[in-house]
Amino acid sequence: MAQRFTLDPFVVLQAAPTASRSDLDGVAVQLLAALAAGLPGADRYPTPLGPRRRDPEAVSAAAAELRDRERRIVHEVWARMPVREVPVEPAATAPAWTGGERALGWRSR
Amino acid sequence: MTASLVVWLCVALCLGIGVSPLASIVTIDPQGPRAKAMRRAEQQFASAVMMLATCGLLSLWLVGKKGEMWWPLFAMVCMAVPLVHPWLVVRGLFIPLGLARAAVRVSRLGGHPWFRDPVGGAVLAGVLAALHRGKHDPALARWLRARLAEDRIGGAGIVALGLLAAESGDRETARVVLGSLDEIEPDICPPLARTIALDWLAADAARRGAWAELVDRISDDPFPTRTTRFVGLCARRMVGESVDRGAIVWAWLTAPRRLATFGLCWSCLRHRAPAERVLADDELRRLAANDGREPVLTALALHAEAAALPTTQPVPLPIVERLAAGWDEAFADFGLRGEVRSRGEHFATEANGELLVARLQRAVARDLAALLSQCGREAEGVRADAGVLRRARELHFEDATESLGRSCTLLARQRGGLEPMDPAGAWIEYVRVRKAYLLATLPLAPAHRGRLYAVVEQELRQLAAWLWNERAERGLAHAVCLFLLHEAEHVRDGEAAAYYRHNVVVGL
Repeated sequence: MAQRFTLDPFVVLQAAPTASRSDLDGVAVQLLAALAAGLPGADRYPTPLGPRRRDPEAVSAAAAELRDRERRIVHEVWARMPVREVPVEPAATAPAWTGGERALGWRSR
Repeated sequence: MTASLVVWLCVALCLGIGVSPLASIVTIDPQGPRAKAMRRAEQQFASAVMMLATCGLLSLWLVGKKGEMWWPLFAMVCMAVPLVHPWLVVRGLFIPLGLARAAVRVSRLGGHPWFRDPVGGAVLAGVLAALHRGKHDPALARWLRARLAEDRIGGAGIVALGLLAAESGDRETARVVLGSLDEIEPDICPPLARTIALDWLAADAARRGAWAELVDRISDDPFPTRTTRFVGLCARRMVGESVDRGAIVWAWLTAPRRLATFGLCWSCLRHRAPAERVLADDELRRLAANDGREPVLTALALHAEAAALPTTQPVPLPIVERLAAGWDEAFADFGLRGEVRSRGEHFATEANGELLVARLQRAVARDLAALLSQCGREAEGVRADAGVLRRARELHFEDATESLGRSCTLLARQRGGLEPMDPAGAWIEYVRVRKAYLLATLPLAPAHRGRLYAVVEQELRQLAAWLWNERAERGLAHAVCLFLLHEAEHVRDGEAAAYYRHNVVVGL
């Protein structure tokens, strides 16, 4: 479910939903070159659920996905969600009791 | 001379009780006079062992005091005790030393606390000893599993099966198998086996931080131990219930292993309900609570909030219903439909705007179906018969039907294969199917539940017949029939209910 936002092709390519096909292909080529060269920052991108790591496979898959015009229109809707640079803080939960098994006589594996 | 006679009498009585035949557990009606007599016999036996042990020790003391030779009598008592009450030696010596094979062999002598399941109890003692070893031994695990197949499986055997899975690192199977103990009739399930299972499940839930699950599990237990009572109180505080600190401290003081459980007690006393988070300005515009913008943006914000929830925790049903309502509003909005249509015209797609919106709707419904599966028991409260949530329930039903159908086919293949599985393996598969079925039916409408029941009923009926007729596993077959009867009544399948009622009345 989270992948709808984190792997949305527009988000992966950091491109606007209104970008033309040639623009999108150009962005994908630039990103692949930056990843191959190991440029700093190229391997990370912001998503609506916080930053994620980017790799060449994800970029190629995103570019290929957006070549299908019907799928692209559906992705445009998901891409309207603003991205965020800071990670989403998980909801505060009570801490687990990791020593429980040993304390109750069960060896921890 | 009199003292010697008393000691010899004690030893003879102990041996007599130890070798005397006990009531069979094979054909017992749980509510019948035989079951009641057996429970009474267990209590009488425990009292007799206590009394005889006291007499024996007292006699030894008298003999020693008179200056007579006491060690032959002492040796006799030492030999008689393991014969009458082997659990004393197994628990005090073999289990802590990790001597699994010795634990099994000595436990097979019988006696308390495994009257209701002697073979399963012996294997459980062996598994407990194996757990005290430093590492997993596959050969020993296979040997223990083979011992389990020597006789009918009762409650202790099922606990041994679950702990064997845990010992090999398969905690998910262990969880499902130990959780299935509730289905076994009390008359073939020793109370100690139930306690051991609950202890492991409590420790496992605490290890995962699944405090809500722990609260449910312990509150269902009619006879909690001092440890589980303490852990249960801590769990209630951890989930935010108002539990007095004094009560927790008192429960900790009265429970065993205080030093080992001090960490839990301390973190529980320090635990406070989380404070409301302060929102930064740039976060406010992303939150769904701020109305007055396009419905699709509200729906997307709700979707992102739901997607950010941890997949290991249950999702509250109101979150799913609010998300579905948000998307219903977005799909009803002419703005979204118009935009999609105009983009379709711009790209000259084959599919028209309505079809593209339907694809988006299907994607949303699939996500909602995944969230419904994550709701747990709360999903039972979903009542939507319209909109995207209805579509999500239909998708959930289709997925569950396919998945359960696959599981049942696999089960049938294993049952009739060239190397048929043993009853223990069949029980593991059954409890997996049962759990998947119960989880899948929670958000379903009654009609869908009936159709899903028809998917699993045929195979489980065959399984129960196989367990009963070919493997003489009446306890396990009885449990399967009880479950099918309960479900048949739930989905109002009168014919199936009559069939299973007959089987259940026949008894174990």
